[in-house]
Amino acid sequence: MSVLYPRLLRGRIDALFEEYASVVSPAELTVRASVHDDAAVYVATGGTRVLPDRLDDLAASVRVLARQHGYPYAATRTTEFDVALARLLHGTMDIAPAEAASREVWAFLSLVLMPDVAWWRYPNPPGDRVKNTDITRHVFGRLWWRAELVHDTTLADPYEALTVLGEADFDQVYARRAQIGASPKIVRNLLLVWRSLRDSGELNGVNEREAFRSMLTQLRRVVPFLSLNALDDDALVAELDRTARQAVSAIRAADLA
Amino acid sequence: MTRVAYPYLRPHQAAVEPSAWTLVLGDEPVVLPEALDTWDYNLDLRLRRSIRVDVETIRAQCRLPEEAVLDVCVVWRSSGSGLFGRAAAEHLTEPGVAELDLEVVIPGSVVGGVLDIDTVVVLATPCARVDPLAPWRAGSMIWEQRSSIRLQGDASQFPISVIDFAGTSLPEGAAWHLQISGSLESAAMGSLLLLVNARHKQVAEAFGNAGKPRPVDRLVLSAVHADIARVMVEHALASDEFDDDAEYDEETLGAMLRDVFVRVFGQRTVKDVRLRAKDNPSLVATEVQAAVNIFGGDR
Repeated sequence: MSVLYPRLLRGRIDALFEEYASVVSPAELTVRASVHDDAAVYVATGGTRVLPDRLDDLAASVRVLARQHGYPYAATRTTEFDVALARLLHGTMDIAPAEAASREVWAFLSLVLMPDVAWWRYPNPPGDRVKNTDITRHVFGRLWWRAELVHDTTLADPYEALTVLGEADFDQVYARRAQIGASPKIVRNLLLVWRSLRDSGELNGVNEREAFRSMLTQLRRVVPFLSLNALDDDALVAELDRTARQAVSAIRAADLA
Repeated sequence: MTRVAYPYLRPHQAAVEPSAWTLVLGDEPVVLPEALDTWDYNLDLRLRRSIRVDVETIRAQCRLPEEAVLDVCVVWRSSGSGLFGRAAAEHLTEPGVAELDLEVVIPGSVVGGVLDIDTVVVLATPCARVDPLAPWRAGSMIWEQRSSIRLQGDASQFPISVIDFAGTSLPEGAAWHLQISGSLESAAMGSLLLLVNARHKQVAEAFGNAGKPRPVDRLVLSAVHADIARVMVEHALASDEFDDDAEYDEETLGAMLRDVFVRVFGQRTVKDVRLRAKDNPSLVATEVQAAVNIFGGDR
């Protein structure tokens, strides 16, 4: 059953962000961390609100993970931390995707529940890392969405695809979510196809990021008249594989020219 | 759907004839409404429709090769979650005319906002390019039709949580409890929470059936509604900060209490009602009943 999380009101988001701007050490924010804020609200959709104990447990788990990566001192192995945090957030929060699409939910996590962790991961963060401006950049929100779009409960490790793409490439997928990026089935199979090409050496000698973006561009061109979501996995993989190979070939041809 | 210039032949729209979608709430199907204000993430959407597909006409008009495999599918997209998904897929294996009954369940946990439900006929696999104008790529949309439903209201709904009171400090025998917390400047929707005791079968069922209440459910919901208004009025009157001169920002608890107060007492002053409540609290409670038209009584 989905759990409802509080959303931090916008005025409060700006006020807290401004207040924390003078913080020199994330440890200073530990005492500010809380499970409650008067300006945190719940949407009026029936459901079960998250209990304070559960918020406490979530914050404690995240801090344990952060300590393994340097917290409260300088962050180390941040890519590994992000992948582990994506698993943790997605695996424990029980938040509905429509709730997770709310930027204010993530602002509550970064400004009220775990400001110390947020400021540790991104010291002197730009607003979009901790505020409600861009979910693809948010310290916590972007990781939950990465996990949501790649997790596959039929696999022994549902989150194994998290390591296929780096943050920048995943942002490309998420930015095109209206066309291709918001279907877990498509994203999962896209990553499978890409990893298969990489493992078989098909991507050797090409600029992988350029080729990946070229594939996304080609997909965007065809989705108005192709319903990729209507396909079963086999047909979808075949279509994505064909598109990916075309993109790689085009990049190779351009390099040769 | 956005008008698209398809790079392949498509059949006449009449080659596919769907019935209207019906939404199954409880045991009884209803024509898919435009909005379902009582929906929440825990309510899966069960939809049914029948569809008649003239496969022979489609194959001829699209110049498809014999081996082309067609599917009729139901895919959805939610504005709330931004997610897409496939809810059903049926192979159109027989030649001639296919008549199918589609039944889909879309999990409430993955949707929200406006839900678009597309019924599509697609090429299920790629096929030989025997004709330059024929569709050949897997997923080519031969026919489609969209229906939509708005799942969430305008945020004016009351936050509700159905829980077992046994696990709380609330009396186990109670049926509901309105929790009000925070100052009058706090955000209203974060300050109010209606807790419904899951063990209280009649009341829990009434909330479960709120989308299509039975007569008995209407009575229960009306009683709860009146009680909520009474508790809010009492909360307002008990707060020294709630007075005639106070100004509250929009969407604060103070603004919501003021709204309820005005709806119940009209132009009467807070001071006047507070004095009345002190002298005769039961009469004020009865005035609330009348103002909310408890049980839908004629006035």
